[in-house]
Amino acid sequence: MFTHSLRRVLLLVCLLVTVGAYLQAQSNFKLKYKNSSVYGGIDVGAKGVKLSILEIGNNARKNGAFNVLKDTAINTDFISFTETSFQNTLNGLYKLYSLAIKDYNISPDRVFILVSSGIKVQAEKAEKTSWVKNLVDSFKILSNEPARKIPMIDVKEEARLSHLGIVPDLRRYSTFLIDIGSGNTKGGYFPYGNTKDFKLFQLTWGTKSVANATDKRLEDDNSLINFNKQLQRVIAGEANSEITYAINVSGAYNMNDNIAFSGGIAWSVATLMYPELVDNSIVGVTYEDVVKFGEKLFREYPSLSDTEIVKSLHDKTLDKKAITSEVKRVHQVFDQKSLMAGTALLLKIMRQFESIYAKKQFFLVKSGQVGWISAYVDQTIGK
Amino acid sequence: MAIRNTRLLVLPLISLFLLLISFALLSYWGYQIFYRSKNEKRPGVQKDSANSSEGSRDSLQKIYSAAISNLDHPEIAMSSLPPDSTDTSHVIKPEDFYKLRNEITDLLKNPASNGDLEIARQKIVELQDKIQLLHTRNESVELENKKLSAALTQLSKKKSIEEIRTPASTLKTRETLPITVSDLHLAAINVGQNSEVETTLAEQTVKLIGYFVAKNNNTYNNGEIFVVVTQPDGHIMQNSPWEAGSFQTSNGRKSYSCKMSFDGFKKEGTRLQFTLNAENFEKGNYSVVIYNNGIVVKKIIKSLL
Repeated sequence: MFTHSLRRVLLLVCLLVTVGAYLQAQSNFKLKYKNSSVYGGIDVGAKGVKLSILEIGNNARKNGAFNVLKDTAINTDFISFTETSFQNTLNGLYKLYSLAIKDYNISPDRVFILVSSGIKVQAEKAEKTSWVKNLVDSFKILSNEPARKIPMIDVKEEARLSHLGIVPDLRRYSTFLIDIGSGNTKGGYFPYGNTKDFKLFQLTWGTKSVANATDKRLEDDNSLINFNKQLQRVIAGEANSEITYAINVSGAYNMNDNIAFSGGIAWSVATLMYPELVDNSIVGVTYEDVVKFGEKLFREYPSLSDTEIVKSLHDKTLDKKAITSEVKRVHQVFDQKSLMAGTALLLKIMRQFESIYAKKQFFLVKSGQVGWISAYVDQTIGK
Repeated sequence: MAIRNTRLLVLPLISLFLLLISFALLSYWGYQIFYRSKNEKRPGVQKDSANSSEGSRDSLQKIYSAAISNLDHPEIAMSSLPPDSTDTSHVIKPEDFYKLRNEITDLLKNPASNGDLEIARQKIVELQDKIQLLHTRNESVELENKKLSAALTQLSKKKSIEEIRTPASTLKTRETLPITVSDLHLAAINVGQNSEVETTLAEQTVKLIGYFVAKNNNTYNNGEIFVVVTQPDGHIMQNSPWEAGSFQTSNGRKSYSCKMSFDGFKKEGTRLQFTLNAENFEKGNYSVVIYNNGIVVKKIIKSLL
């Protein structure tokens, strides 16, 4: 009798501990939505491994309701395909996975791992696809999860998932999503009113590649004035023909009303232009506004420091601490020249959609890098 | 005896003759005095010699010049009349004045007969009467002006005292706002089976519907109205990040809940409506502030229990 009661008590304690642990996972973060769940997404990329903890609302597909709770990355440089880079990537992946399930108390079935298109492209080019398979198998052994699925996605699927994750259903078939990366730009849209057919758009230009091309033209004059002059030449010369051609071929102008930009430069520009919208994951802008901002970057850069920006805000309801932190983060990631290069590329692409006949609406997406996780989670749960 | 009687008869006759002459002289003198005193009652008009047309014309010319010199600018004299004056019976118009003046000048220059001079005299008398009337009226107008100036000075002194006492913020009247917003309401809506019902309970609220009438006060307005709905926790409500943004106010940039457009040229009131959805509504006060051109034009508070 006593043993039976003891068993019941122990069972109840175990149940309470399990439920408590689950609730703690949810309560560790300041959640934004009432009916939402917390997921972890790990992106094994060409340069490193990145963990994003996301809060995904019930109506995420309907209105793009997801919220980035944590974002952590470890640089591993997998695409150099050396023993060291392999081991660093494996260790980094396991470390971030453990962080998600142990520190953030997210159950393993809510943590998704993907090998990004950057690795796929480089591995195929270098005939090192076996390295990717070895990495995945090694992780399954290390984590003791032999059944875990770790798919490798291509550029098109990554862009498609990003569109599904970032753009709400209401704007699904009228939005062209462009992700400006450091070394390239990719994106696309759904041209036929279904989510299977995706029109991919790609450029070999990104924020860093534009800055590098400008640096090469500087010769012995490293002044900001010369950088700005050479930057305009890069944009008007080398990059111009490719950007104009790619956008014309994509047919995006005629098929879309909204042009949304994601990537590091979109986040930076949105943060510095509209610091008061620190909580907004998406910010609407006009071409003229970004032109003015570009001028400010060149001529009044000190006015974009965290202290100056916060000083200019008078609304007492704003979270100035959060704004300061976010602006500081922008300046840690990009220096003045990188910001100028990225903004110039952004403006060049925007310019292709400026017309007196049809005005397009431009948006800057701040959390675009994790948009695919939301779509992947939605897709996986739905199956 | 007969001569003596004749001498006696001549003496009374001479006396009578002298008496008659004296009487005639006295009568003439009396006549002169009587008419002189009668003519002296009209200033400037002197008795001229009826028989001397040249002398009479000179005399009239002098009288006319004296009358005109009293009134250099008839237009000014006329314009000093109150604009709302309805009593115009005694008013001499500038064109009438010049016409009368020219007629007198012509008559005095080339008098065809003594009759013309008589007409000239009558016209001069008429002119003198009207000039006198103008003088009198000018004096009364000047007096009235002085009274009005004194009243205005007193009023402006009083107003400046009131402005010092009244804070500047309260001086912004409805007329100074770019638009007037009326009938602003915020309704909490509970969605039941095939129907939407207004509620006062936060836990039953599914969405907020706001509506108001905007009336343009200017000839042209930018036609942009920003609605800022602040939740009890201080956060600004937003439907979707894709519809959110910020706008410039007199106190820096501010996030908005809804951006609405209306015809900036339209003078009539336009009814506008907005809807705000949220996953959960907290108990407490929800403030609704309407902005146009960066200025607060209306503000209300809605409480949910």
